[in-house]
Amino acid sequence: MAGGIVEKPASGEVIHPKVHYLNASKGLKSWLVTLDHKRIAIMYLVAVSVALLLGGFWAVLLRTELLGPRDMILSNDWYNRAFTLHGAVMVFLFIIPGIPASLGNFILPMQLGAKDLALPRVNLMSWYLYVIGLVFFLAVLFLGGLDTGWTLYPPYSSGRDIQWNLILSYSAVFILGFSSILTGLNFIATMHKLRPKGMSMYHMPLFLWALYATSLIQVLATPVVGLTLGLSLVEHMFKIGIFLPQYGGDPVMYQHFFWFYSHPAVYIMVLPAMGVQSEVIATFSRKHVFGYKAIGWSSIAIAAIGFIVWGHHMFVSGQSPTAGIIFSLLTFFVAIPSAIKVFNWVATLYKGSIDFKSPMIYALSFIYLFGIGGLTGLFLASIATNVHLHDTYFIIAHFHMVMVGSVLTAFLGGVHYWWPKMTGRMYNETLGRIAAVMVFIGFNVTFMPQFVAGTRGMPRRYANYLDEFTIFHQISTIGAYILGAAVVLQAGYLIHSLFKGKKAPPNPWGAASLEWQSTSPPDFHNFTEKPIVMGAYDFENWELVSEDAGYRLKREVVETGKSLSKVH
Amino acid sequence: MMADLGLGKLAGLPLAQSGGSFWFPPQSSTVAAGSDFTYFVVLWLCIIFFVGICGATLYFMVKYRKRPGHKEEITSTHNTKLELAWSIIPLILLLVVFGISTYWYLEMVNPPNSGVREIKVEASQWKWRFKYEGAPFTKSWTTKKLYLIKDKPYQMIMTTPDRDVIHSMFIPAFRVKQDCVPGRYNKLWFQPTETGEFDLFCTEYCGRDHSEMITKVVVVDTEAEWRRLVESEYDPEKIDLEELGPMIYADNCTSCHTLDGQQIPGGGPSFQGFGERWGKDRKFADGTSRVVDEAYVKDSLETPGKNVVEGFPNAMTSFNFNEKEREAIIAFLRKQ
Repeated sequence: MAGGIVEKPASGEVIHPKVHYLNASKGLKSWLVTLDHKRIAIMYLVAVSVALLLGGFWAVLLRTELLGPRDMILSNDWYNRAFTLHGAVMVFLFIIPGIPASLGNFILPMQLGAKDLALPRVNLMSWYLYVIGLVFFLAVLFLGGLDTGWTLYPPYSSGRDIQWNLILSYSAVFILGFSSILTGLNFIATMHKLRPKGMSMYHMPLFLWALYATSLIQVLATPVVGLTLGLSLVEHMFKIGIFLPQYGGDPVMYQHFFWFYSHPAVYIMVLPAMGVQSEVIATFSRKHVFGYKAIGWSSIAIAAIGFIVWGHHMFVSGQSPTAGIIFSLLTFFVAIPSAIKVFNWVATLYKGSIDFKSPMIYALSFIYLFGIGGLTGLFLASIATNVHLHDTYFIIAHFHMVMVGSVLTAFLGGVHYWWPKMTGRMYNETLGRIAAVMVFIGFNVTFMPQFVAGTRGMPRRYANYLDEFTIFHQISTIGAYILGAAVVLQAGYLIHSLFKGKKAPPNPWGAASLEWQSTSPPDFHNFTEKPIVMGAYDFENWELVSEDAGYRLKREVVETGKSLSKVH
Repeated sequence: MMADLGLGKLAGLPLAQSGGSFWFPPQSSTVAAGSDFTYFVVLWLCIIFFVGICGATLYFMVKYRKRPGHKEEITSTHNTKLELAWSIIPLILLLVVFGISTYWYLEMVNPPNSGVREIKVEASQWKWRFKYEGAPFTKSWTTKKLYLIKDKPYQMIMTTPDRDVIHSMFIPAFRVKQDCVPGRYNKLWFQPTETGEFDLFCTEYCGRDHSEMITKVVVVDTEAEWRRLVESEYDPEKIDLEELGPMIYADNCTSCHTLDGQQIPGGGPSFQGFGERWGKDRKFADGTSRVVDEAYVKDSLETPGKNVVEGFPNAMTSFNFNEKEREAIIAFLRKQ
């Protein structure tokens, strides 16, 4: 056991451990070959943040190009590369692995009171696979970029002569898929095998239910995209007809295969975000989350229904009208479990004591932004309006409200929420709140005008556009700059806090899930003594000591080892 | 016809669009009103839910904000009746929306039984070609604009050459859209209800000049006007040589001569590599040979039986083109 920690963190004494997972061993090698889920999570956090900045860089570039209807700073070719790399990097390298691989990796074992994931070596391997994928995408950049759009639709992608940048991109997505599958497998195994005595599935924090549903999709859907791109690769290199009409293939089949993965992938992105949301809302309103089972099972329902709605991406591709109508109906069904979650979060606020700390500001903006993102999905599920709105800026606005407005918001909220636990430091709360409000304003200014541009007919992926759309693009670009400034501000004060931030107490927020019973940052073994297993939302067990010292477990809880909560 | 559920026309400023509303371009086809009606039904449903959710959130944020003297209360953590209510009521509402939307969608996909005119749409990087089937004149297709007659139903038969990429035809004022997929013949019907010029966009990303692949739909009142417009597009004196060549080829030669080296049974030689043959000798079925040049092309057009290429039947009819057309053909062939 590392260090000489003899105090009981569970007793709520403020201990700032001298030896913890960050300094238990030293040197670059101790990180690169670590099997500690916490270190792997930190390495993931660094890597996905790099991807976020890279994807964000392309976003700012292409929004700048769109300030005017004609060429501003990019030629058509470079604009096409900019939106392709923005999409590919954001989807494959940031949003899909973002929350599960960084926050999930760190928090999942700790919320179970476990020492590590069930398969630590597999965990490290999935990180290396991720990094290989990242390097491949960087290589694509130096091979002249890629201009196929992140969806890589044939024949535009593979119907040309052999292109190494395309082959590298296919390989990158294939490898990243393995990384994703291994993480999912590891999470499922961990949740089944490493739950402590007294914690049934129904006692797990909702973040874990969300990760469980996510993992199911990762394991079941990801192989399909791997196979699809594998087939495309074989076809591209050996001219075997699968998706390309010149060899007797059908491009629409690619779209079926691709969206069979990529639609569930949307839920890989959003479910963990919803998990973070459930934790943060409950903690900062000091209320047991309302409708626990409904939230948990709605995650599973979203995952299940998410598998049978892929055809709504193809209403105008030449799919039969009958298939279109069926997919439209199924798509409406997926709205229900999503709505249930939102209603439950709002109900959780009822009669709480709502503390507007930075993570909570993100969580409250999530309700608003996901409200817009989710509700605008109804226009697209309705096939009569979808035909008009498909491939216009309306779609762009809709999915950015979900993927950026919701997922990025929850990611940032989650990073702020668990930052004290992960780093042992507090960030500047005032700057944190300012950044959170800026992110919220930035999203709205960026994407609200795009809805109207879309209904008025502005097609997506246009390097140049008709003059009548100028005003919408200009407002949108200003929003993107606000968003960009917020991210820079965050990077600034978060990095600053690592060196100059106040030391964090074990439980600064009074949250009740098990990770808060460990020190901040946690010991190499996560817990120096067994945490007391209690309900994830039993806030009654904790009492406030002071703003600086955070919360501690009440004496009776420590003495009896039992939760005081009577609600279940 | 349909109650205006929209937010009305927002006056002035850059948002004004002739004939359109704040949200939409003008409704200029028979299905546009149905699509917009569905939109506004969903919009109002969304507004109600959104205001409800955000209103409750804001109210709770103010009322239960953390402050000295305020403490959270333990409340019930679940309520089956409430939870069933907020699951089942939205479900019913969504099924109603699905019904409305599907009703209008069926209007969009089922053309009238008779009187439908066919137009073949061929999209390629980065241009549109519209062929008017059964038109009473030979120059039956246009590349600049799509010409239609008001209140006539049209069926588009849409495709893309095999070696090209996917495109999509989108006419916002008609609220219709359909992909042009290589190797497939997709269909789309609509009936314009207003005269005027409307935007036609490509909405499936197709490469460098995707955003330049924009043209106009021109809707006119009468058959005569329509015919005049279609024929005016084919005025060889007004068309550039580079454009004219492919037009003449597509209208006259494709049933016998390919551009990709393939042989059409009973047809003539492919034009692939014609440019390389320029200035060189060519052997004919009767044992003679001749240099491939302007005079050869002219003779081949006007008296095709004179120089039949070895291995091909003497099957071509003669064509009389004017000088500009001939030049266009020569330029086109030399590029092959």
